[in-house]
Amino acid sequence: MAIVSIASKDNQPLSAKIVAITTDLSEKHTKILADAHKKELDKSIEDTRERTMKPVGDHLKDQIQVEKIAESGFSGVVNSGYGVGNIAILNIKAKWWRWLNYGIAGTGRRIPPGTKENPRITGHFVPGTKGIFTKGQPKFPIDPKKAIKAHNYIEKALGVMISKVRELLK
Amino acid sequence: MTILHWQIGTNIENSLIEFLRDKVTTQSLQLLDVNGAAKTVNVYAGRELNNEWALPLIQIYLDSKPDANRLEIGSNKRLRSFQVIIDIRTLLPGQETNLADWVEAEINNGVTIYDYTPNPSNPEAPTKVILGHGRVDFISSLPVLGYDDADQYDQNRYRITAKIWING
Repeated sequence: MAIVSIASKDNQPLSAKIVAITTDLSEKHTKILADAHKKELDKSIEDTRERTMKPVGDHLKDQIQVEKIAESGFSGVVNSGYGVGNIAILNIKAKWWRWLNYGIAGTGRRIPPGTKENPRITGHFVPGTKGIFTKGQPKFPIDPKKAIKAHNYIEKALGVMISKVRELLK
Repeated sequence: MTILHWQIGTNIENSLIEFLRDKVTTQSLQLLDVNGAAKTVNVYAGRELNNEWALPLIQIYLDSKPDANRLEIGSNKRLRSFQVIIDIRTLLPGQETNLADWVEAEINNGVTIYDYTPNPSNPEAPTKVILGHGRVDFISSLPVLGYDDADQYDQNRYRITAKIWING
């Protein structure tokens, strides 16, 4: 009878080696999926864009980033994967994220607001012309009455990603 | 000259709407308002919210077509998915979740998809023949957060995203 012995080079338990390898693979796999999801979100935002991108300032796409998530577990802080889009950051730097997706702003508004000084907005906001909304002259004053439609860019990206993940797992 | 009428996207959208309207009617599905009066659930089509719509309501529209995979190499037959958004808006908090559960249970086994053609003698009732069975995959299901100043349509809102799969 032949007995085959398998041992690691550094005499560490094989179980620990396997856990380390699979954990690393799992993390890389999760990172690949998170990066792919970020690309799909970018694509969905671009595909549903109704006006030209403003030349300066914060852009929604730039504020959606892949982040490592660390959570507290029984054995201390553990890396539990990657997240795409940090709502706390979006709520500060791209507050319009929910308005574009759900058709309603964080304030509950569905139609662009006026200003305190001039409730009738001074600006330019006609989706059909792909105009940029800007306050002040030389634009003509308008009073928007049309609600911003839900673009559903989050759901669009999810729909594509779920199929991609299934393909990867086949 | 060809006048283009119902295509696969609108066929699927309308089949789903008709399916849920039938279920609401056969079950006499109602929800209570703040005064305890029973209100029939309405099913509407369209991406844009219409301020004349009556709550409680289920709003349905086709949003995207994420998948169009070939069934086999060399064939142009495809397995396609049609992603629909189902926004549920109710009068009282909690009802939106209950109504979402009801919708999910009703469409879980799939929906019969019809091919519609215009009916000049009765435009409200287009003629239809069965096109196939649409399978349903749920993509997301969660409440849309309420907002302090939101109007009645957004106070109690729930969103379901589903893919309808059909060969063709």
